[in-house]
Amino acid sequence: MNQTSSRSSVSPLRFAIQDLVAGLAMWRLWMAFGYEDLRQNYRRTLLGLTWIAISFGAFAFAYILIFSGLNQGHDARHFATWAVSGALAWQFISHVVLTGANVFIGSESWIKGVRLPLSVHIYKTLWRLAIQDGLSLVVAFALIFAFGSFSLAGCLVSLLAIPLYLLLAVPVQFIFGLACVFSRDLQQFIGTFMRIAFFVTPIIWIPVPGTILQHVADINPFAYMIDLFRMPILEGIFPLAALGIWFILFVVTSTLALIAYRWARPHLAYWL
Amino acid sequence: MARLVVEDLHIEFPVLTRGIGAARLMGETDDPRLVAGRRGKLFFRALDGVSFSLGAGDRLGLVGPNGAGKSTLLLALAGIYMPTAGRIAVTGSLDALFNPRLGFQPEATGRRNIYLRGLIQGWSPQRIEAATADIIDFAELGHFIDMPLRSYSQGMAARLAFAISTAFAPDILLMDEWIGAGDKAFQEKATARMRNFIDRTGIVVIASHNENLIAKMCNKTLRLERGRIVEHVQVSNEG
Repeated sequence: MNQTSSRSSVSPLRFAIQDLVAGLAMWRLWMAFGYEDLRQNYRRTLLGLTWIAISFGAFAFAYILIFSGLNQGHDARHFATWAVSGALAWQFISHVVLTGANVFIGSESWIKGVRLPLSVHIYKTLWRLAIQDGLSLVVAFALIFAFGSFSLAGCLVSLLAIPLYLLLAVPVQFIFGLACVFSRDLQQFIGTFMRIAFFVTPIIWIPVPGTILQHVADINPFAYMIDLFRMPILEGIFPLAALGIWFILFVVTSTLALIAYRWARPHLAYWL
Repeated sequence: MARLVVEDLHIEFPVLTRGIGAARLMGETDDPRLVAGRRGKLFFRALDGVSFSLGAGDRLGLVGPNGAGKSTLLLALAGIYMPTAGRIAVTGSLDALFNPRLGFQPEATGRRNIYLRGLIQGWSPQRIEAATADIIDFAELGHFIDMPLRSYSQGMAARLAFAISTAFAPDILLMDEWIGAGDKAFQEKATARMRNFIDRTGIVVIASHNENLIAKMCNKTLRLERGRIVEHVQVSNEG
């Protein structure tokens, strides 16, 4: 094993890709610790990880009950699927952004204690989210089958959203994770921003064509990301426009992540 | 073959001057390690032009007062701090005994923690499996090994961490102070294991205030003061 560390040895693209690949190869490590982090949250509870399912189930059920009344113009079954699938997709998206903001700050003792690829911290976080929101996914489908309208084939197609979400989550977490180390105010800002973003994203409301809410949904990238999961279930079709937006977001965030990585990697341990 | 080469190493930390002001800080001290950067930024030069090279069999002792840069040097050698300027080249597997409890999960059993720590060390599951019996035996944990770590006494947890850290010898070992664990009887056992561990290691770099230990153990010493090498001693007859 040979390693040279100096500023000039950092060729940005190769260095970043090496980090991603070397991190993937350590899958045993991040899977084990991602799972431990999750278990730590539910330690000494009788129901353990079942709480994740219960919590999401109760939350989504309350959505159906309360907000279907506010969306009178729509079929109740249609709204149930709309709200439950939206709530699940939003839960994952906001987890990615919020845990991303803390992914390196929260790993300070690791980053200063042992040399690991930075991507390990991201994979660990995403693995935890995958288990957590995977459990919620089972509950979401149960609720949709019970109370919603759905396309059975579409439910299978909707699972295509999972790899798309995870792929996009990697550069997104790199950007937010690194940026928040250098600007701790940003971390606070993101928390505030995501709470507002929930309301301008069509989860508990359905945009009516020609209204201002329709325009809000049209310019909201979160809305397209949710559509990747929701539209197949609801309409039985895969939304190609949303896939296009996903692709643009992926290219843009990957480029930004690369720039952030190149700029921040040599300084990261110093700033933590 | 283990090899460690350091050339003209500089490490500079950013100093947050919010509320104090870089100019005032600079004016109030004559510490040459405070250096002004661009746009009023202030940096602390923890290491200033450090060079040395080590080959197989070398045992280097880092000595010097608190704040001389010993720990910073070890962290840079471990690849945690990337050089501000200069170069570090490492040939061989490297292990750093800075924080042997990093990653310990209080709710997990001792056995599970051996697995988790093994993964951090970069061991394969087979390797961890092979080492587990010896670690449990050495740490004298008995049936506690299948109980949660939080039920362990401080000493038991320390013995476990020590036993895991010293299970496999790397090519290059970095240590910040000599590590040991346990009560008096255990300490003798730990010292014996540590010596054996070090004997199997190609290169050892240890920072310590215990100059007797350094004199006994090392064939080279570097004395650091304010981030610079002030003395470089090479002893021909290894102790």
